[in-house]
Amino acid sequence: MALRTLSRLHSFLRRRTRGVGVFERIVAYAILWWILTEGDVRSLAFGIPAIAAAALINPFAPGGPRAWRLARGGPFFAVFAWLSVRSAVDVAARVIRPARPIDPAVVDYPWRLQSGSARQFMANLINLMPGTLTIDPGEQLLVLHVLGGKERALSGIRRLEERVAGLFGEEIPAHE
Amino acid sequence: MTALAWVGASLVALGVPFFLLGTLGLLRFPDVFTRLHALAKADNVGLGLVCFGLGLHSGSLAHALKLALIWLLMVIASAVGAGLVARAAIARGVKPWGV
Amino acid sequence: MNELFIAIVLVLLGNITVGLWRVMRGPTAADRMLAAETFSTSTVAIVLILATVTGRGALVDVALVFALLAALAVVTFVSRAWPDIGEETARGGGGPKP
Repeated sequence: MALRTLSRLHSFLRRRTRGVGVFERIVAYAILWWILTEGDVRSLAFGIPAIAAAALINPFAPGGPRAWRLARGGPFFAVFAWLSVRSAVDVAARVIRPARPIDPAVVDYPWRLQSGSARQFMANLINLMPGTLTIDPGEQLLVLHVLGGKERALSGIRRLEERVAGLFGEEIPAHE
Repeated sequence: MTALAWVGASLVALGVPFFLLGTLGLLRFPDVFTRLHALAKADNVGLGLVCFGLGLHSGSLAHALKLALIWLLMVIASAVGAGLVARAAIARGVKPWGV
Repeated sequence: MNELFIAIVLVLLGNITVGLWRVMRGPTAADRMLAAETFSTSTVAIVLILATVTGRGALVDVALVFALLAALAVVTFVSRAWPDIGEETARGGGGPKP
């Protein structure tokens, strides 16, 4: 019994230790440990074994999500932060006006992104963008709930999709 | 009291209206989907301002990064959560208002 | 400065109390869940501000755990706690469109 568990664990570890480099994982977990302990040097007595043990296992299955293009992460975050603030102000303005100017619509949007992880990322990102909410990230169509101003929201989604494609290193067809 | 601490405290104060307006949206908006819009957007920006402000106020990089991590976790939780609730609501036959 | 932070904490607590109205009213289980979700966001903000005011770093870890639990709460609700399909059809609306 114990032997079988051990051999399963061994084959699991052998499968998972391939792929993304151990070195990158050690660096990433060390930074995370530094943040979580707020730079407390004494905690490294626990930290070094913990980081080493965690780095043994690759959290991404082989052939899993492709790595982000890190260089594009910074500008993407800046755009994200700006759009989040705009979307919060937009929804706040709709809430606060006595007339409550909302005109909801349910819209189908044909995907241009191909890979599953890029679609997943975008479907969740949409919930934080001005006036849009994902109802169903389907196989062919992305079903959206729009709070008002359908055309404007859709053109925002198109631009967002192009940015996500850039982040994941995907080529997508231009909008007709 | 340094200037940085004051800027941080003002950012924290600036986050409060977003929390209030998010709750107002929760009370005023007509159905679960429109309420999801109000929450997912307003509360995250409110919490973002609070975390960013407290990070500046503390003046420590490690502390600021930890607050940023907490904010990131909440943003992921609420973005994914909003999508899950919307999808489950449609599947359970809740009709969007005004469509 | 601490007075300002305490005032902000009180405002956020008041905000949660007002949000309780939506928990009572519903009408669907999801509306109640949403209200509970805002509570978790406000709670994280309150705990973080109190961590700064009191100087207790451990409260930041409390907020971190709350943030992790917030994700679990929604997933659990959607997959387990919401009544079965079809039950909400009659109650989902928010009145006629003006």
